Amino acid sequence: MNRRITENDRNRQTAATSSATTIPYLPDNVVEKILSFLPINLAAQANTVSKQWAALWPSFPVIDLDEADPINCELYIEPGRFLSFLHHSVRRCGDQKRLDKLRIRANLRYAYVLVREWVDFAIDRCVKELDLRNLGENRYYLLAHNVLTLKSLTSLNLENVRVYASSGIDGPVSLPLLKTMSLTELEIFDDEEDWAICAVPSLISGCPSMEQLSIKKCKLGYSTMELEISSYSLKSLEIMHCHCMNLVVTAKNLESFTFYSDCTCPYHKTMYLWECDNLKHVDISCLGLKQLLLHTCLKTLENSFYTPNLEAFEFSGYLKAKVHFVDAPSKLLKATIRVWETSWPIEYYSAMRGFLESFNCSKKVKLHIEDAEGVIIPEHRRMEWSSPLPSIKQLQLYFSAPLGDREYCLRPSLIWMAPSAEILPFLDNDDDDEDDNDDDYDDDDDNDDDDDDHNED
Amino acid sequence: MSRVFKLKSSDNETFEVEEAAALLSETIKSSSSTEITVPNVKAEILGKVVEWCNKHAESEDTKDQLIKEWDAEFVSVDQHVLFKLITAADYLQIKELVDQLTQRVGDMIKAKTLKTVEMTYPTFNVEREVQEELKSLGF
Repeated sequence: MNRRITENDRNRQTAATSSATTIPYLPDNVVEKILSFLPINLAAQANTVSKQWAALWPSFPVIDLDEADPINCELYIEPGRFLSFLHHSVRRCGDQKRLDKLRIRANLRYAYVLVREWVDFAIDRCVKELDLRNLGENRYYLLAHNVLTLKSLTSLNLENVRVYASSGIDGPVSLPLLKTMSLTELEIFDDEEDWAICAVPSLISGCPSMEQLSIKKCKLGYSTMELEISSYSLKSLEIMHCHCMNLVVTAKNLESFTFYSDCTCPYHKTMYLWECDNLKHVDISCLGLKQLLLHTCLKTLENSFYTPNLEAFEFSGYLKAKVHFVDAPSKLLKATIRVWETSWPIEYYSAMRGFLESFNCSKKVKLHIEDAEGVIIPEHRRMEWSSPLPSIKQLQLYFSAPLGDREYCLRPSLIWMAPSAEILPFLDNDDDDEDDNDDDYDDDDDNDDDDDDHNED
Repeated sequence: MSRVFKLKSSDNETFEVEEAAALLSETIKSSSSTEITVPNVKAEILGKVVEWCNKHAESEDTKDQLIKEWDAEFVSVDQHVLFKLITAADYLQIKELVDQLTQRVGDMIKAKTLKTVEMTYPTFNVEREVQEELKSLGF
């Protein structure tokens, strides 16, 4: 107690005699409080105010070390200054037990050792959010593998670094609490030796709680032909400007999917969204895409497809939402639509007509339905509404349940639907069509009944 | 019947404060007497602290927008006055007032409007060891 009083007295004297600073003596608890409101770079500056302030270093739940922050550029003008700050501050923070978030934006190549210290510091304190952005070139910085097994991590944001996802000493990627992952300009490989294999699936399988994934401008593996993203927990997926290949997305709880790519290289052919029953928002802009398969129910009207080179489109599901093409894909050869509806409430017919309209740009439309009653649009409607497919050249219908007396109504309805088209002989849903290209994916049987009846006209 | 407390400044001015306002101060709360002398705090400053306490005693809901605006006005004072208020609020242990005033100091540091010579030209205490380590890294 005595010693403290002496120090206080000394501080008071310093304050009184020093004309340089106008901050008067304040009690320790007050200074601590003031410092607690400051970000780490300012708190580091503040320690020059007085010995007292220098001695009282606060605890920072959030640590933001930003070499490029314009507000603090005066701090880092001299070369090596940021490095000395990194060195200095990790030691000053040594006593703190907790850390919620660490963000470092710097040239990680030069600061390699110091950044490693900081990352270890964060891992030791069970950090929840980690954000590392490299300002240098060439992605020189390799992410420490122990980040990928950090149990406490809920959010990971990486930019311009390299990641090897394969097992390190700590085992495979395991981030059980991770909710948000954002990867920008990364090289993500499975293995140091093997640059060919894309490590995104390894990352995803190690994150069973991941809800948001964003991958931008990443190199995903030189010889990867297919990228499969499969996640039960994922709610939002964003893939932008990746040199990508065929993409398969299976995510039952996915609500939002955004995909942008200007790439027109030949590998970029197919996109398949499979069993994404909860999709509410889809935005796909893909210059090179040739084949798009949506085996899913589009729940809302919020969708947008910019796929000018699309040649084949396939859809399976309920006709709840219209497909919006930003520009009708003029090269579309074939649109295959599998209708799941088995009952025809009043709204059904206008929804069906509206859905078909989007595919008027196609040469051929293939319509699969269990019960052909669903394509017999009531006569009075046919008189009110214009044709949905006035320009298509061929219409192929597949159905399984026998129509009986109603068969004579079928042809007029189809002619109304596609007045310029050749109505091809009807086929059963199980039949193969000769001119079908070999799909990579099995023709999934949507029918409830396996009907032996073979309806042909 | 609520008690009335008497607060005396260092320059011998007395302020009468209602119980509700006075008990915002932990120091007063734990005092056995209703007459408290506040050392080193002049009337001008003590008066402002009493004003704050009165305002906060009458308004139950501190999250109210109007009170927030009033508080913002209250702390927008000269640096000189600000530090004196902090000292007084700290002595009287009025937690919320100390929080608001210290937050204000923090904001002034962030906005670099706090006047100290050192704050304008910052230097780091780079110990020799650090310099040597950096040298070994090639800087």
